[in-house]
Amino acid sequence: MPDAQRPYASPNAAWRGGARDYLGGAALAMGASFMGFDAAARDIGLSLAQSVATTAGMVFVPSQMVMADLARSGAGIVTLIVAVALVSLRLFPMSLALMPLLREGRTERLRFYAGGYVLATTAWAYAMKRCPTLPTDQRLGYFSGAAITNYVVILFSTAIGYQLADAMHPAVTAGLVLFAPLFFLLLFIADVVDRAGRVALATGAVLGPLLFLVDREWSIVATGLIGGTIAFAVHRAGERRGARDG
Amino acid sequence: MGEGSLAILMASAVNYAWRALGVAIGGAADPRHPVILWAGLVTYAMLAGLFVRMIVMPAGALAAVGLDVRIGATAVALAVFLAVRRNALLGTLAGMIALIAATVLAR
Repeated sequence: MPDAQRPYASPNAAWRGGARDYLGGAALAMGASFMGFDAAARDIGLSLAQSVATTAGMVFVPSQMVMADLARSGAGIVTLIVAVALVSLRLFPMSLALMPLLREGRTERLRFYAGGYVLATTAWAYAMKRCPTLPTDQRLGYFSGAAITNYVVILFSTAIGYQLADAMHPAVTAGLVLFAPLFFLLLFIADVVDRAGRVALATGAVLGPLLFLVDREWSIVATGLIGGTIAFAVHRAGERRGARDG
Repeated sequence: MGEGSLAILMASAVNYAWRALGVAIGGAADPRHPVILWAGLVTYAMLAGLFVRMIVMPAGALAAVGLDVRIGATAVALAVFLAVRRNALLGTLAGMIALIAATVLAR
């Protein structure tokens, strides 16, 4: 990135900028984690076409894992819907937090629903950091550049990973699975510099594993709600202090 | 095909419903609205919790690797990250290589 604060010359340049930022960082992490998904997909007995179809349809590894696991165990369609709804619930606050930033001052709809479809953690993280510094007509472009590039990368990684899954050394598979969580944690440490954001990351990091011991299904949602609300309280306290002092 | 495809289709639809709901509600909102700021912080907390858990209490292939090796690899990643001007990619690569090397050497 030449200058993180300067806008691009045009919406198209913003698209390329998003694609470049993604390829320079998250592409490897996502490639690795979708190849990691293939190891599980093979264990579960999905075909190559089904593995690629789950990636194309969901763009979200946790939903894909739950779906694949339940389909194998012969669970009913209601169980499947409830389980996937629960695990993909976290896409809602993600989408809710980003869309106002992308859509500010714009009236068309369809492109934003398409954007919601390819939304992934990578493009979310990049856009949340970069878009506030961009003019409103460049934000969707920047996000789309990252998100669509991501979509292409994960489709290919799923297809390639499926062929390699059986030949891979277990240590390499473990390394691939480690890649995404590690990358995102470091990316957040580097990118999230405001105090409230830091509090959200720290409380989430502590609560995530702890609440998982209490209740597996609800732990992620509860972690987000508790950690995010504590961080929000810190943000409001900071605002009040700022208003009083400034 | 058949039942597997139906499962994939249903799961994809449910999965997309949350995204679309975020677009429907969030698309019309002010990015500085307190609820929107709150949703962003909730997401950061959720993701941090998820990713730490994936390392500390993994499932699948990573579960076969000892906790000491996973923590060690994370420490290597963090050290490299801090050493090379907070480069997340280089830090992660170093951590992954450390994990693979430690696992292979231990056998």
